[in-house]
Amino acid sequence: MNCVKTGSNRSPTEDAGTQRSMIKMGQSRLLERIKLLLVMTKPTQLALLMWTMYGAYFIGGGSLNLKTLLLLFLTGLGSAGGVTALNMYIESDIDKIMPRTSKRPLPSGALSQKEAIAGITLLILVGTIAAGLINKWVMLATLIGLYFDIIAYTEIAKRSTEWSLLFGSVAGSMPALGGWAAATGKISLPGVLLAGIVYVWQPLHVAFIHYYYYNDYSRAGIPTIPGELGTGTFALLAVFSVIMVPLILFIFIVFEKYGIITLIITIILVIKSLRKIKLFSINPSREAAREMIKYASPLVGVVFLLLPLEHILAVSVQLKLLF
Amino acid sequence: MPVENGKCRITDPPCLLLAGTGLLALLAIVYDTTIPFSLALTSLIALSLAIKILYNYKYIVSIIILIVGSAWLLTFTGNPRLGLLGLILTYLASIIASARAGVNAGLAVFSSSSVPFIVSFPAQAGGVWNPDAIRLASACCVLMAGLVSASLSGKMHPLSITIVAPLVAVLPPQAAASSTAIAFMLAISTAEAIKMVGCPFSVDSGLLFYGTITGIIGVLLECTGLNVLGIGLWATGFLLQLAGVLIPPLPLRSRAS
Repeated sequence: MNCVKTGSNRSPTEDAGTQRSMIKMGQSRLLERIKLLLVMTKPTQLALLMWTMYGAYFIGGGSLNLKTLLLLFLTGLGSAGGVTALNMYIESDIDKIMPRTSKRPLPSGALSQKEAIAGITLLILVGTIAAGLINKWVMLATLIGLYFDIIAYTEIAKRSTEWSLLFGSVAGSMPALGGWAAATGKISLPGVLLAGIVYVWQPLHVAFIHYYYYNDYSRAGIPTIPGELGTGTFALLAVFSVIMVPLILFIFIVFEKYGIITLIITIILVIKSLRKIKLFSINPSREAAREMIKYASPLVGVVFLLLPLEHILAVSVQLKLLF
Repeated sequence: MPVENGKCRITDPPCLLLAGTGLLALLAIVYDTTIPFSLALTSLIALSLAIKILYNYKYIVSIIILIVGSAWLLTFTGNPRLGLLGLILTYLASIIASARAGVNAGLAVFSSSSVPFIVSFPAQAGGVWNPDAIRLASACCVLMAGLVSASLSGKMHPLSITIVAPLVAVLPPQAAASSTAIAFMLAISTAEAIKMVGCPFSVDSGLLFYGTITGIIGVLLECTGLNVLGIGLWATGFLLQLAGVLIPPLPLRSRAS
């Protein structure tokens, strides 16, 4: 740092310049830390969770109120993102062992433990406050997410049972429930069904990721469904998981009286997924698992894109009938 | 049912109980929303914690019977002071169970977090929050927090705490603030207790610290009347604290490699 001089013979202009450059350095360091913290929120996964949250919000009839939309964004970023980052913080010991995760901010040393936990707490705090400002039900959804992701999944189940993802999936379905609660001001059956769609889809997605990175998980000693139960049982569970999505969607339609187009498209995607699962069970390989991850990923995205559109369509048809 | 190497299957009682915990938490949300909810959540989390610590469902079942029995007694009679009976029973049970240090810690954590929940039954009867019941809940928390630290540190006789607890019960404290502050004391002493008995967890001081800060902000908000937000932050703080005392060790296989 050649810009920093010591001694008392510096001019006021020099002092001011040094101060400015130090402030600049501090700012860029802070920005770098914020970027690393955002990396810890797993932006791609966070984007999908936000998608389900906003999707559920609009399915629930949420308006384009900027304040609510902004609060929802902060809730998603702070709660879903913060909890993911906290998960990464707790699991930094495992991340060090697995080659895939060893370059993450904490195991690589780019971010210190102290900086990480302070930033993560701030994120979670922002998320909880934003959720509380929307309504108490959204806040409850964030608390359930925090409990199931960190305590039930990461700390209690993940290192001891291959079924841990059943607990983790509860957390993943909470943004959808929160979105619904933000729009309707309550937690009701349709909202639970929307969360249920995300819940049943997640084990399918995560278990194929476990298969794809099996060596990494095995090295870290984490039990996984493909590893503990064998490919046959795993494929059966995948079939069950993928079939449950249109089934829950159907129940949703029975209650809400719209969503047929979404159901038809979902069934087409499910049939394609079932074919992929069949191919995987005949010839299990990493490539087949990767294909499956690619196929399974858009399933929930499609549901939470089409269903809000159908809701808007249903509302406009109702309005036309009224007038 | 001792669980070998901390590994259990979904059909094993601890896993089933854990799943049941989630279900009960959801039910608690559906049927209740304010203070009893946060107390219920606390109890349920403590149940998971106790299962993990004890590795033995028989203790959990006996504790649940004890707690449910006390709750029934309180609800039936409508007299929160009868909760003291439940306390004495729990206290006795913990002494009996203290033959195993891990059992004692798990039992103390679970019962101390559950007692406020029991007290909340009559306290909410008729939709009126009963200040007497809150004071009693605070007293229960003091008693149990003391029980944890006293019986595990060996620095204080548990009886001295038993004498102090009724004194808190007759004082008119700021109900939410006092009981929450005591709950924090409990969480921190629990962390120490877990370290002392050598349970299969390590403690993360950073998480514990920030969890406490978050919880305190919650208490302050609660005292200023912002109830929903206050309770939310209180619960978040408590969850972070719990996360801080439950840091799991590396699985055996990875340690071996």
